[in-house]
Amino acid sequence: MRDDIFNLLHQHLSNGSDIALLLGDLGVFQARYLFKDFPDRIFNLGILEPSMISFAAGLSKGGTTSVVYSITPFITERALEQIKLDICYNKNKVLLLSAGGTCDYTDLGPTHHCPSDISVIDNYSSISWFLPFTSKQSVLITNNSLSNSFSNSSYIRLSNTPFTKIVDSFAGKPHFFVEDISPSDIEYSSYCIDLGPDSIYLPLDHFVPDCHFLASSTADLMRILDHLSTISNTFNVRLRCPFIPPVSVFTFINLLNSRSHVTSVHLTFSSSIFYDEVVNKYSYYSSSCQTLSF
Amino acid sequence: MNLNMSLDVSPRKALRLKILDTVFSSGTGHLGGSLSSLDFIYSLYTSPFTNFSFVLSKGHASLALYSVLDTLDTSFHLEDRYGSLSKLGDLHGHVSKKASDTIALSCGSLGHGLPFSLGLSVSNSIKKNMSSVICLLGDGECQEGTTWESLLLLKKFSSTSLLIVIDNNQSQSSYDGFQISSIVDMFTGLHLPVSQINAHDIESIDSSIKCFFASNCPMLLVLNSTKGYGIPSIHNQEQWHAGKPSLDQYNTFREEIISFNEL
Repeated sequence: MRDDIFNLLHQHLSNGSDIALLLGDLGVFQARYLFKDFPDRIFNLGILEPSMISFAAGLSKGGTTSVVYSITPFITERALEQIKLDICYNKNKVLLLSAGGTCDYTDLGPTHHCPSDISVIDNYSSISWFLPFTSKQSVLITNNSLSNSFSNSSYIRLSNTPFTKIVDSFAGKPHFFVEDISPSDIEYSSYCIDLGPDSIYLPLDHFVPDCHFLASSTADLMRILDHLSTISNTFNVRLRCPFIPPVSVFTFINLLNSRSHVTSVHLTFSSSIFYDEVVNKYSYYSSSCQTLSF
Repeated sequence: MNLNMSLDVSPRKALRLKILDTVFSSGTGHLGGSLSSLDFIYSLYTSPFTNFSFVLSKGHASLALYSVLDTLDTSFHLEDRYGSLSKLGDLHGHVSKKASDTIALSCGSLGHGLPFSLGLSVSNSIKKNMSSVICLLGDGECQEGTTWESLLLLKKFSSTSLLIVIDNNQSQSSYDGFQISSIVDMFTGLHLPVSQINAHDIESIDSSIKCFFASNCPMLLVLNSTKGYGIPSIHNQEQWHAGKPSLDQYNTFREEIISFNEL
C-alpha cells in the first residue's frame, strides 16, 4: 500500500501540488526517487515523532499539506498530544499514514503493536480514520484526503497484509466493499461486517469467507446502515473489529439496534494485551479477542 | 504609536496595570511569567515590522500578549472576553489564536510551539513567502524533549526566517529552574546567531528585532528577565507564578507598578 501511495504523491508533486512528505526514518529507501525528484518537499526528519507531528502542523498552517509516515504506535501513542492539539484543536490539516495494523508486527513484540489507535483517533473531531483493505483503496482514500474539498485531517492505517484478491462469492454468499453496495433480491438472516483488514484474524490467503461487507471508515458504516435499513426480513449482525472498538462503532451498533428488523448485534474485537513472544497470529487473536452481544 | 492610556504612566506601565487588573478581576492568570515576557511582546507589536506570525509557545503568558493586543485595538475588549470559572468569556488562560490573525497556534501545553514554528517557517521558505516566524518559549519549557528534537532539526533547515526567543526568568513554578546554556551552545555549534540581552531594556530588544528581520536564518534571542517585572515585591517570587492577589495585595501592586523605575 505504501509504495502505491508514494507513487500517488509523486504524481501530485509532479502536477505542482503543494504537499510535503515527512518520514519518521521509515520508508526512506522506498522513497528514494521522491527524495531525488523533490528534495525540497520530502524530508526524513528522523526519530522524533512528537516534533514531526508539530512540524507537520506548522507546514500545513503555512499552506503546505503534509503527509506523515511512521509506525502506528509511534504516531498515535507517542505523539498523541501533538495530534490532539496541533492538528485537531488547531485544525491544521495533516495526513497521517501509519504502518501496521493491530498486530501486523507480531514478530517484533509488543512495543510495535497498537490495538488502540483507531479508538484514540476517533475521539477527536476534525480528523477522520480509514482502514483500506487493498492498495487500490488506499490510493483512493489518500487521493480524496488530499483533495481541497476534504477539510478534515486523515488517519490512514496501512496494514502490511492488504487483500490481494477478493473472492466474489463463497458458499453462495457474496461479499463486497461498501462502495459496491446495491439493492439485492437476496436477503439473509445474518450479516457479517469486517471493519478494517488485519493479519491477526484473516486467513493468510486473504479472503474472508463469511463476510458481507468490508468497511473502511465510519462513512462506510453509515452506508451499511442505510442498506440494512432496506432489508425487510429480520436478521442479526456480526461485526468484527480487529482493534479496540472506537465510540463510533458503538454509535453504529446503537443505530442498528434501533431498527426493528435487527434481532441482535455481536461485536468481536481485539483487546489490548502484551504478547511478549512470537506467536501464531491466530493464537494472539484467540487470546485477546472478546465478544459482546447487544 | 499612540497607546490609549487612562493614567499618566508610560505605555509599558499601563500594560502592566492592565495585566494586574485582569488577573484580579477574573481571578485567574499567570502574573509572574506574563510580566517577564511583556516587554519583548510590546516591542514586537509596536515595531515597524508586521510581516510575521507569532507563536507564544509559553502559552500561559497569554495576558502579556492580550494586554498588548487590547491596547493596540480598541475593539479587542479584553476585560469582557477574558474568562474564568466565575466569569464567562471566549478567551481562557492560555493563548488562543482566535485572539489575533498574527497568532499562529493556540498553545498551553508546553513544547508544541517550537517544532510547529519550524514547520511553518519551512513552509514559508518552500513557498518563497517572506513572512517570518517568531516563537517565544519559557526557559522551563526548554526541558521538554521536543525542544531538543527541534534543535536537532535546525541542522536541516538553516535558511528559514525563524526567531526563537527564550524568556529566561530562571524559574518555573519553583526556582529549580532549567539552565539554558546548553541550548545556547547548540545554537553556537550550528553557527547560527545568538544574542543574550536584558529582557526589559527596550533599546536592546528593538535592536535585536531589527537585526533578525534583516537576516534570513534562524536566530536565538535569550531574554534575561525578571519574573514579575514591574512589581518589585513579587520580583522572582515563586509563589507569583500564578494566582490571584487579595484586595490589599492588588492595591499595593498597583502602587508599585506606578512608582517603579523601569529600564
